[in-house]
Amino acid sequence: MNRIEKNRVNLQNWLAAKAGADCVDITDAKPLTGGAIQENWRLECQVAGGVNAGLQRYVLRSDAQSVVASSLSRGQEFRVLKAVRRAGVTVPEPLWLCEDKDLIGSVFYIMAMVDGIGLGPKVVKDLTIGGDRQALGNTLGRELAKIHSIHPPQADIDFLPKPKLNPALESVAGLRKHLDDLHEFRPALEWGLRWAELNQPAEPEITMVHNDFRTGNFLLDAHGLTGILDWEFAAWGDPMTDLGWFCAKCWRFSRPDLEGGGITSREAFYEGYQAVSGRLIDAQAVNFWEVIAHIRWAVIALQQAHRHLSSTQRSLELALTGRLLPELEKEILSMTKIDAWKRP
Amino acid sequence: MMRDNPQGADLLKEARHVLSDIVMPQLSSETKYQLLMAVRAIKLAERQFLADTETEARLTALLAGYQETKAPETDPARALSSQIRNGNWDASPQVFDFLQEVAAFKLKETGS
Repeated sequence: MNRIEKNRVNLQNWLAAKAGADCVDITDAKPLTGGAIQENWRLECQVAGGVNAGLQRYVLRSDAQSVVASSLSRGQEFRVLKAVRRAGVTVPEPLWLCEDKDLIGSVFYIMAMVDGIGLGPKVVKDLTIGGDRQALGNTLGRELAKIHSIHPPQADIDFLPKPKLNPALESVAGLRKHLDDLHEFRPALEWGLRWAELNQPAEPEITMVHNDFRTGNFLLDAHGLTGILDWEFAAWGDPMTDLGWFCAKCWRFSRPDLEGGGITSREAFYEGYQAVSGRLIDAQAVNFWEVIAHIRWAVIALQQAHRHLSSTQRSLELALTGRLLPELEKEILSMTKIDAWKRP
Repeated sequence: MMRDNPQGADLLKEARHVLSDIVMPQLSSETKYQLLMAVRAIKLAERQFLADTETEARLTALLAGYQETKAPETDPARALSSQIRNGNWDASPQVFDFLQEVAAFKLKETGS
Protein backbone atom coordinates (compact mmCIF):
# COMPACT_ATOMS: atom_id res chain seq x y z
CA MET A 1 0.00 0.00 0.00
CA ASN A 2 1.46 3.39 -0.97
CA ARG A 3 1.62 6.24 1.51
CA ILE A 4 -1.26 8.16 -0.08
CA GLU A 5 -3.53 5.14 0.38
CA LYS A 6 -2.18 4.55 3.87
CA ASN A 7 -2.90 8.12 5.00
CA ARG A 8 -5.97 8.70 2.88
CA VAL A 9 -8.37 9.73 5.64
CA ASN A 10 -5.93 12.16 7.27
CA LEU A 11 -5.12 13.66 3.89
CA GLN A 12 -8.79 14.04 2.95
CA ASN A 13 -9.56 15.79 6.24
CA TRP A 14 -6.58 18.10 5.84
CA LEU A 15 -7.56 18.94 2.24
CA ALA A 16 -11.13 19.67 3.32
CA ALA A 17 -9.91 22.08 6.03
CA LYS A 18 -7.57 23.84 3.60
CA ALA A 19 -10.15 24.05 0.80
CA GLY A 20 -12.87 25.30 3.16
CA ALA A 21 -14.98 22.30 2.14
CA ASP A 22 -17.38 20.10 4.06
CA CYS A 23 -15.47 17.04 2.92
CA VAL A 24 -13.03 15.86 0.26
CA ASP A 25 -12.96 12.40 -1.28
CA ILE A 26 -9.77 11.36 -3.09
CA THR A 27 -11.21 9.37 -5.99
CA ASP A 28 -7.90 8.64 -7.71
CA ALA A 29 -4.21 8.97 -6.82
CA LYS A 30 -1.45 8.17 -9.30
CA PRO A 31 2.31 8.78 -9.13
CA LEU A 32 3.58 11.10 -11.85
CA THR A 33 6.77 10.19 -13.69
CA GLY A 34 9.95 12.24 -13.65
CA GLY A 35 10.51 12.56 -9.92
CA ALA A 36 13.96 11.17 -9.14
CA ILE A 37 14.40 13.61 -6.28
CA GLN A 38 10.81 14.48 -5.45
CA GLU A 39 7.65 12.45 -5.50
CA ASN A 40 4.67 13.86 -7.37
CA TRP A 41 1.16 12.47 -7.09
CA ARG A 42 -1.79 13.37 -9.25
CA LEU A 43 -4.90 13.53 -7.08
CA GLU A 44 -8.46 13.58 -8.32
CA CYS A 45 -10.75 14.85 -5.61
CA GLN A 46 -14.47 15.23 -5.22
CA VAL A 47 -14.89 18.36 -3.13
CA ALA A 48 -18.20 18.94 -1.31
CA GLY A 49 -19.05 22.46 -0.18
CA GLY A 50 -17.05 25.68 -0.27
CA VAL A 51 -15.70 27.66 -3.23
CA ASN A 52 -13.84 24.64 -4.66
CA ALA A 53 -16.90 22.37 -4.77
CA GLY A 54 -16.86 19.80 -7.57
CA LEU A 55 -14.21 17.63 -9.18
CA GLN A 56 -10.72 19.06 -8.62
CA ARG A 57 -7.33 17.87 -9.86
CA TYR A 58 -4.34 18.58 -7.69
CA VAL A 59 -0.66 17.62 -7.58
CA LEU A 60 0.86 16.61 -4.26
CA ARG A 61 4.62 17.10 -4.14
CA SER A 62 6.84 15.68 -1.41
CA ASP A 63 10.39 14.43 -0.87
CA ALA A 64 11.28 11.09 -2.45
CA GLN A 65 13.71 8.45 -1.18
CA SER A 66 16.87 10.51 -1.38
CA VAL A 67 17.35 14.25 -1.29
CA VAL A 68 20.12 15.82 -3.35
CA ALA A 69 22.36 18.12 -1.34
CA SER A 70 21.82 21.83 -1.92
CA SER A 71 18.22 21.53 -3.08
CA LEU A 72 15.47 23.50 -1.33
CA SER A 73 13.05 21.90 1.11
CA ARG A 74 9.46 21.48 -0.04
CA GLY A 75 8.37 24.31 2.26
CA GLN A 76 10.95 26.64 0.72
CA GLU A 77 10.02 25.52 -2.77
CA PHE A 78 6.36 26.34 -2.03
CA ARG A 79 7.35 29.89 -1.03
CA VAL A 80 9.48 30.31 -4.16
CA LEU A 81 6.51 29.21 -6.30
CA LYS A 82 4.37 31.86 -4.65
CA ALA A 83 7.00 34.54 -5.25
CA VAL A 84 7.51 33.73 -8.93
CA ARG A 85 3.79 33.47 -9.54
CA ARG A 86 3.42 36.97 -8.09
CA ALA A 87 6.07 38.10 -10.60
CA GLY A 88 3.90 36.75 -13.43
CA VAL A 89 5.84 33.58 -14.19
CA THR A 90 3.75 30.73 -15.66
CA VAL A 91 3.76 28.11 -12.90
CA PRO A 92 1.13 25.78 -11.43
CA GLU A 93 -0.75 27.65 -8.70
CA PRO A 94 0.69 26.71 -5.28
CA LEU A 95 -2.28 26.08 -2.98
CA TRP A 96 -1.47 24.69 0.46
CA LEU A 97 1.63 23.61 2.37
CA CYS A 98 1.68 20.91 5.05
CA GLU A 99 4.78 21.07 7.26
CA ASP A 100 3.50 18.37 9.60
CA LYS A 101 5.65 15.35 8.69
CA ASP A 102 3.29 12.99 10.45
CA LEU A 103 0.38 13.47 8.08
CA ILE A 104 1.82 11.43 5.18
CA GLY A 105 5.38 10.82 6.35
CA SER A 106 7.07 13.95 4.97
CA VAL A 107 6.45 17.63 4.29
CA PHE A 108 4.39 18.20 1.15
CA TYR A 109 2.43 20.82 -0.69
CA ILE A 110 -0.52 20.86 -3.03
CA MET A 111 -0.63 22.74 -6.31
CA ALA A 112 -3.17 22.99 -9.08
CA MET A 113 -2.81 20.33 -11.77
CA VAL A 114 -1.56 21.73 -15.07
CA ASP A 115 -1.90 19.72 -18.28
CA GLY A 116 1.03 19.28 -20.61
CA ILE A 117 3.98 17.14 -21.61
CA GLY A 118 7.39 17.68 -20.12
CA LEU A 119 9.63 14.82 -21.18
CA GLY A 120 12.63 16.42 -22.93
CA PRO A 121 13.35 13.86 -25.68
CA LYS A 122 9.65 13.71 -26.63
CA VAL A 123 9.17 17.46 -26.63
CA VAL A 124 12.21 17.91 -28.88
CA LYS A 125 11.05 15.28 -31.40
CA ASP A 126 7.29 15.75 -31.50
CA LEU A 127 6.46 18.97 -33.33
CA THR A 128 2.77 18.72 -32.45
CA ILE A 129 3.78 19.77 -28.92
CA GLY A 130 4.50 23.37 -27.95
CA GLY A 131 2.90 25.20 -30.92
CA ASP A 132 5.07 27.37 -33.14
CA ARG A 133 8.61 26.72 -31.99
CA GLN A 134 9.97 30.21 -32.62
CA ALA A 135 7.07 31.70 -30.65
CA LEU A 136 7.73 29.15 -27.91
CA GLY A 137 11.39 30.21 -27.77
CA ASN A 138 10.32 33.83 -27.45
CA THR A 139 7.86 32.95 -24.67
CA LEU A 140 10.50 30.99 -22.76
CA GLY A 141 12.87 33.97 -23.02
CA ARG A 142 10.16 36.27 -21.67
CA GLU A 143 9.36 33.89 -18.81
CA LEU A 144 13.00 33.66 -17.84
CA ALA A 145 13.26 37.45 -17.85
CA LYS A 146 10.34 37.59 -15.37
CA ILE A 147 12.18 35.19 -13.05
CA HIS A 148 15.25 37.44 -13.31
CA SER A 149 13.17 40.50 -12.44
CA ILE A 150 13.16 39.32 -8.81
CA HIS A 151 16.05 40.86 -6.89
CA PRO A 152 17.21 40.35 -3.33
CA PRO A 153 16.32 41.08 -0.62
CA GLN A 154 12.84 39.50 -0.47
CA ALA A 155 11.56 38.84 3.03
CA ASP A 156 9.46 35.77 2.14
CA ILE A 157 12.29 33.99 0.32
CA ASP A 158 15.29 35.20 2.33
CA PHE A 159 16.39 31.55 2.77
CA LEU A 160 17.57 31.40 -0.86
CA PRO A 161 21.32 30.86 -0.98
CA LYS A 162 23.30 34.00 -1.83
CA PRO A 163 26.71 33.88 -3.49
CA LYS A 164 29.53 34.99 -1.20
CA LEU A 165 32.01 35.37 -4.06
CA ASN A 166 31.55 36.09 -7.74
CA PRO A 167 28.94 33.37 -8.64
CA ALA A 168 31.30 32.06 -11.33
CA LEU A 169 34.13 31.44 -8.89
CA GLU A 170 31.72 30.06 -6.33
CA SER A 171 30.46 27.63 -8.92
CA VAL A 172 34.00 26.45 -9.77
CA ALA A 173 34.79 25.98 -6.07
CA GLY A 174 31.50 24.12 -5.47
CA LEU A 175 32.04 21.72 -8.37
CA ARG A 176 35.61 20.99 -7.27
CA LYS A 177 34.34 20.25 -3.79
CA HIS A 178 31.73 17.83 -5.15
CA LEU A 179 34.44 16.01 -7.12
CA ASP A 180 36.65 15.83 -4.02
CA ASP A 181 33.75 14.57 -1.90
CA LEU A 182 33.13 11.82 -4.44
CA HIS A 183 36.88 10.99 -4.65
CA GLU A 184 36.58 11.33 -8.41
CA PHE A 185 39.69 12.30 -10.36
CA ARG A 186 38.63 13.47 -13.78
CA PRO A 187 41.33 15.32 -15.69
CA ALA A 188 38.92 16.53 -18.42
CA LEU A 189 36.56 18.05 -15.84
CA GLU A 190 39.52 19.63 -14.03
CA TRP A 191 40.64 21.06 -17.38
CA GLY A 192 37.22 22.68 -17.84
CA LEU A 193 37.18 23.99 -14.27
CA ARG A 194 40.65 25.49 -14.58
CA TRP A 195 39.60 27.18 -17.83
CA ALA A 196 36.53 28.53 -16.03
CA GLU A 197 38.63 29.84 -13.17
CA LEU A 198 40.76 31.84 -15.61
CA ASN A 199 37.86 32.98 -17.78
CA GLN A 200 35.23 34.05 -15.27
CA PRO A 201 32.81 36.76 -16.39
CA ALA A 202 32.74 40.16 -14.67
CA GLU A 203 30.86 40.55 -11.37
CA PRO A 204 27.18 40.27 -12.39
CA GLU A 205 23.93 41.82 -11.22
CA ILE A 206 22.38 39.34 -8.75
CA THR A 207 18.83 38.11 -9.39
CA MET A 208 16.76 35.04 -8.67
CA VAL A 209 17.90 32.12 -10.84
CA HIS A 210 15.93 28.95 -11.51
CA ASN A 211 19.09 26.85 -11.85
CA ASP A 212 17.40 24.04 -13.78
CA PHE A 213 15.68 26.01 -16.56
CA ARG A 214 15.85 23.53 -19.45
CA THR A 215 13.84 21.45 -21.86
CA GLY A 216 12.29 18.70 -19.77
CA ASN A 217 11.33 21.06 -16.96
CA PHE A 218 8.58 22.88 -18.86
CA LEU A 219 5.07 21.59 -19.45
CA LEU A 220 3.83 22.17 -22.98
CA ASP A 221 0.52 21.53 -24.68
CA ALA A 222 -0.33 21.78 -28.38
CA HIS A 223 -0.33 25.58 -28.21
CA GLY A 224 2.68 26.40 -26.06
CA LEU A 225 3.89 26.71 -22.49
CA THR A 226 1.58 25.71 -19.64
CA GLY A 227 3.96 25.67 -16.69
CA ILE A 228 7.58 25.92 -15.54
CA LEU A 229 8.45 23.19 -13.05
CA ASP A 230 11.19 21.96 -10.72
CA TRP A 231 12.17 24.92 -8.59
CA GLU A 232 14.22 23.00 -6.03
CA PHE A 233 17.55 24.54 -7.10
CA ALA A 234 16.36 28.19 -7.16
CA ALA A 235 18.87 30.62 -5.67
CA TRP A 236 20.28 34.14 -6.00
CA GLY A 237 22.91 34.28 -8.71
CA ASP A 238 24.09 35.44 -12.12
CA PRO A 239 21.09 35.51 -14.49
CA MET A 240 23.34 34.34 -17.34
CA THR A 241 23.58 30.99 -15.52
CA ASP A 242 20.05 30.11 -16.63
CA LEU A 243 20.67 31.17 -20.24
CA GLY A 244 23.77 28.98 -20.35
CA TRP A 245 21.96 25.98 -18.85
CA PHE A 246 19.04 26.30 -21.28
CA CYS A 247 21.28 26.63 -24.36
CA ALA A 248 23.89 24.03 -23.34
CA LYS A 249 24.27 21.27 -25.93
CA CYS A 250 23.72 18.55 -23.33
CA TRP A 251 20.09 19.71 -22.96
CA ARG A 252 19.24 19.76 -26.67
CA PHE A 253 18.61 16.01 -26.77
CA SER A 254 18.28 14.79 -30.39
CA ARG A 255 18.39 18.32 -31.88
CA PRO A 256 21.86 19.72 -31.20
CA ASP A 257 21.35 22.11 -34.14
CA LEU A 258 18.60 23.99 -32.26
CA GLU A 259 20.62 26.00 -29.76
CA GLY A 260 17.56 27.06 -27.76
CA GLY A 261 17.16 23.86 -25.77
CA GLY A 262 16.70 21.66 -28.87
CA ILE A 263 13.31 23.26 -29.49
CA THR A 264 13.97 26.73 -30.86
CA SER A 265 16.66 29.06 -32.14
CA ARG A 266 18.96 30.83 -29.74
CA GLU A 267 17.91 34.12 -31.38
CA ALA A 268 14.18 33.65 -30.69
CA PHE A 269 14.92 32.85 -27.05
CA TYR A 270 17.27 35.82 -26.68
CA GLU A 271 14.79 38.19 -28.34
CA GLY A 272 12.07 37.29 -25.87
CA TYR A 273 14.47 37.58 -22.97
CA GLN A 274 15.79 40.99 -24.01
CA ALA A 275 12.33 42.35 -24.78
CA VAL A 276 11.18 41.84 -21.18
CA SER A 277 14.40 42.24 -19.22
CA GLY A 278 15.87 45.15 -21.15
CA ARG A 279 19.17 43.49 -20.28
CA LEU A 280 21.84 43.03 -22.95
CA ILE A 281 22.96 39.43 -23.19
CA ASP A 282 26.67 38.98 -22.65
CA ALA A 283 27.54 36.23 -25.15
CA GLN A 284 30.87 35.48 -23.44
CA ALA A 285 29.17 35.08 -20.07
CA VAL A 286 26.57 32.72 -21.57
CA ASN A 287 29.38 30.71 -23.18
CA PHE A 288 31.12 30.51 -19.79
CA TRP A 289 27.93 29.19 -18.17
CA GLU A 290 27.46 26.66 -20.99
CA VAL A 291 30.87 25.19 -20.15
CA ILE A 292 29.90 25.14 -16.48
CA ALA A 293 26.56 23.52 -17.44
CA HIS A 294 28.36 20.53 -18.95
CA ILE A 295 30.67 20.21 -15.95
CA ARG A 296 27.73 20.49 -13.55
CA TRP A 297 25.77 17.84 -15.43
CA ALA A 298 28.88 15.62 -15.42
CA VAL A 299 29.19 16.03 -11.65
CA ILE A 300 25.47 15.27 -11.18
CA ALA A 301 25.91 12.17 -13.38
CA LEU A 302 28.79 11.05 -11.15
CA GLN A 303 26.67 11.65 -8.05
CA GLN A 304 23.82 9.63 -9.53
CA ALA A 305 26.16 6.77 -10.42
CA HIS A 306 27.48 6.85 -6.85
CA ARG A 307 23.93 6.62 -5.48
CA HIS A 308 23.64 3.39 -7.43
CA LEU A 309 27.13 2.08 -6.65
CA SER A 310 26.84 2.81 -2.94
CA SER A 311 23.48 0.98 -2.90
CA THR A 312 21.78 4.12 -1.55
CA GLN A 313 19.37 3.67 -4.46
CA ARG A 314 20.03 0.77 -6.83
CA SER A 315 18.78 1.75 -10.27
CA LEU A 316 19.75 0.96 -13.84
CA GLU A 317 18.81 4.50 -14.86
CA LEU A 318 21.20 5.98 -12.28
CA ALA A 319 23.90 3.51 -13.30
CA LEU A 320 23.60 4.43 -16.98
CA THR A 321 23.69 8.15 -16.17
CA GLY A 322 27.24 7.57 -14.95
CA ARG A 323 28.16 6.48 -18.47
CA LEU A 324 27.23 9.86 -19.94
CA LEU A 325 30.60 11.21 -18.84
CA PRO A 326 32.59 10.68 -22.08
CA GLU A 327 30.11 12.70 -24.13
CA LEU A 328 30.10 15.52 -21.61
CA GLU A 329 33.89 15.49 -21.37
CA LYS A 330 34.16 15.68 -25.15
CA GLU A 331 31.88 18.71 -25.22
CA ILE A 332 33.78 20.43 -22.39
CA LEU A 333 37.04 19.94 -24.30
CA SER A 334 35.55 21.22 -27.54
CA MET A 335 34.48 24.43 -25.75
CA THR A 336 37.84 24.96 -24.04
CA LYS A 337 40.31 24.44 -26.87
CA ILE A 338 43.70 26.08 -26.54
CA ASP A 339 42.66 29.26 -28.36
CA ALA A 340 39.75 29.72 -25.92
CA TRP A 341 42.18 30.20 -23.00
CA LYS A 342 43.32 33.65 -21.99
CA ARG A 343 47.07 33.56 -22.28
CA PRO A 344 48.71 34.31 -18.95
CA MET B 1 44.07 -19.27 -20.25
CA MET B 2 41.83 -20.45 -23.07
CA ARG B 3 38.20 -19.62 -22.44
CA ASP B 4 35.30 -21.76 -23.61
CA ASN B 5 33.23 -20.46 -26.47
CA PRO B 6 30.96 -18.62 -26.85
CA GLN B 7 32.73 -15.89 -24.95
CA GLY B 8 31.28 -13.12 -22.80
CA ALA B 9 30.70 -10.59 -25.56
CA ASP B 10 28.92 -13.19 -27.75
CA LEU B 11 26.65 -14.21 -24.91
CA LEU B 12 25.76 -10.60 -24.14
CA LYS B 13 25.02 -9.97 -27.81
CA GLU B 14 22.66 -12.93 -27.99
CA ALA B 15 20.91 -11.97 -24.77
CA ARG B 16 20.45 -8.47 -26.13
CA HIS B 17 18.87 -9.76 -29.32
CA VAL B 18 16.41 -11.94 -27.41
CA LEU B 19 15.37 -8.97 -25.28
CA SER B 20 15.05 -6.43 -28.08
CA ASP B 21 13.67 -8.63 -30.87
CA ILE B 22 11.49 -11.12 -29.00
CA VAL B 23 10.55 -9.70 -25.61
CA MET B 24 10.31 -5.98 -26.35
CA PRO B 25 7.53 -6.06 -28.99
CA GLN B 26 5.24 -7.68 -26.44
CA LEU B 27 5.62 -5.01 -23.77
CA SER B 28 3.62 -1.94 -22.79
CA SER B 29 5.30 1.42 -23.40
CA GLU B 30 6.12 1.90 -19.71
CA THR B 31 7.85 -1.48 -19.36
CA LYS B 32 9.46 -1.02 -22.76
CA TYR B 33 11.35 1.99 -21.39
CA GLN B 34 12.82 -0.18 -18.63
CA LEU B 35 13.83 -2.83 -21.15
CA LEU B 36 15.38 -0.25 -23.48
CA MET B 37 17.62 0.80 -20.60
CA ALA B 38 18.57 -2.81 -19.95
CA VAL B 39 19.40 -3.34 -23.64
CA ARG B 40 21.53 -0.20 -23.60
CA ALA B 41 23.38 -1.43 -20.52
CA ILE B 42 24.07 -4.79 -22.16
CA LYS B 43 25.35 -3.08 -25.31
CA LEU B 44 27.74 -0.96 -23.24
CA ALA B 45 29.01 -4.01 -21.38
CA GLU B 46 29.43 -5.84 -24.68
CA ARG B 47 31.61 -3.07 -26.13
CA GLN B 48 33.57 -2.80 -22.92
CA PHE B 49 34.16 -6.53 -22.95
CA LEU B 50 35.62 -6.32 -26.44
CA ALA B 51 37.65 -3.18 -25.87
CA ASP B 52 38.69 -3.78 -22.28
CA THR B 53 42.22 -5.05 -22.69
CA GLU B 54 43.22 -2.63 -25.42
CA THR B 55 41.64 0.43 -23.82
CA GLU B 56 42.85 -0.25 -20.33
CA ALA B 57 46.44 -0.70 -21.47
CA ARG B 58 46.34 2.41 -23.66
CA LEU B 59 44.78 4.61 -20.95
CA THR B 60 47.26 3.43 -18.35
CA ALA B 61 50.14 4.12 -20.69
CA LEU B 62 48.81 7.56 -21.59
CA LEU B 63 48.23 8.53 -17.98
CA ALA B 64 51.56 7.14 -16.85
CA GLY B 65 53.26 9.66 -19.12
CA TYR B 66 52.04 12.39 -16.82
CA GLN B 67 53.24 10.79 -13.66
CA GLU B 68 56.92 11.24 -14.18
CA THR B 69 56.71 15.01 -13.83
CA LYS B 70 55.34 14.86 -10.30
CA ALA B 71 55.86 13.35 -6.92
CA PRO B 72 54.92 9.82 -5.88
CA GLU B 73 51.24 9.77 -6.67
CA THR B 74 49.95 6.24 -7.12
CA ASP B 75 46.92 7.04 -9.24
CA PRO B 76 47.91 8.74 -12.51
CA ALA B 77 44.43 10.24 -13.07
CA ARG B 78 44.59 11.75 -9.60
CA ALA B 79 48.07 13.17 -10.25
CA LEU B 80 47.07 14.76 -13.55
CA SER B 81 43.82 16.14 -12.08
CA SER B 82 45.67 17.82 -9.27
CA GLN B 83 48.34 19.23 -11.61
CA ILE B 84 45.67 20.71 -13.88
CA ARG B 85 43.86 22.21 -10.88
CA ASN B 86 47.09 23.78 -9.66
CA GLY B 87 47.67 25.46 -13.01
CA ASN B 88 50.67 23.36 -14.09
CA TRP B 89 49.15 22.67 -17.51
CA ASP B 90 47.24 25.87 -18.38
CA ALA B 91 46.47 25.95 -22.11
CA SER B 92 48.94 23.11 -22.69
CA PRO B 93 48.45 21.62 -26.18
CA GLN B 94 50.17 18.44 -24.99
CA VAL B 95 47.66 17.83 -22.18
CA PHE B 96 44.73 18.95 -24.32
CA ASP B 97 45.61 16.43 -27.04
CA PHE B 98 45.97 13.73 -24.41
CA LEU B 99 42.57 14.51 -22.86
CA GLN B 100 40.98 14.43 -26.29
CA GLU B 101 42.56 11.07 -26.97
CA VAL B 102 41.23 9.66 -23.70
CA ALA B 103 37.76 11.07 -24.41
CA ALA B 104 37.81 9.48 -27.89
CA PHE B 105 38.72 6.10 -26.38
CA LYS B 106 35.92 6.27 -23.87
CA LEU B 107 33.41 7.43 -26.48
CA LYS B 108 34.28 4.49 -28.69
CA GLU B 109 33.40 2.25 -25.81
CA THR B 110 30.05 3.90 -25.07
CA GLY B 111 29.25 3.87 -28.80
CA SER B 112 28.46 7.61 -28.95
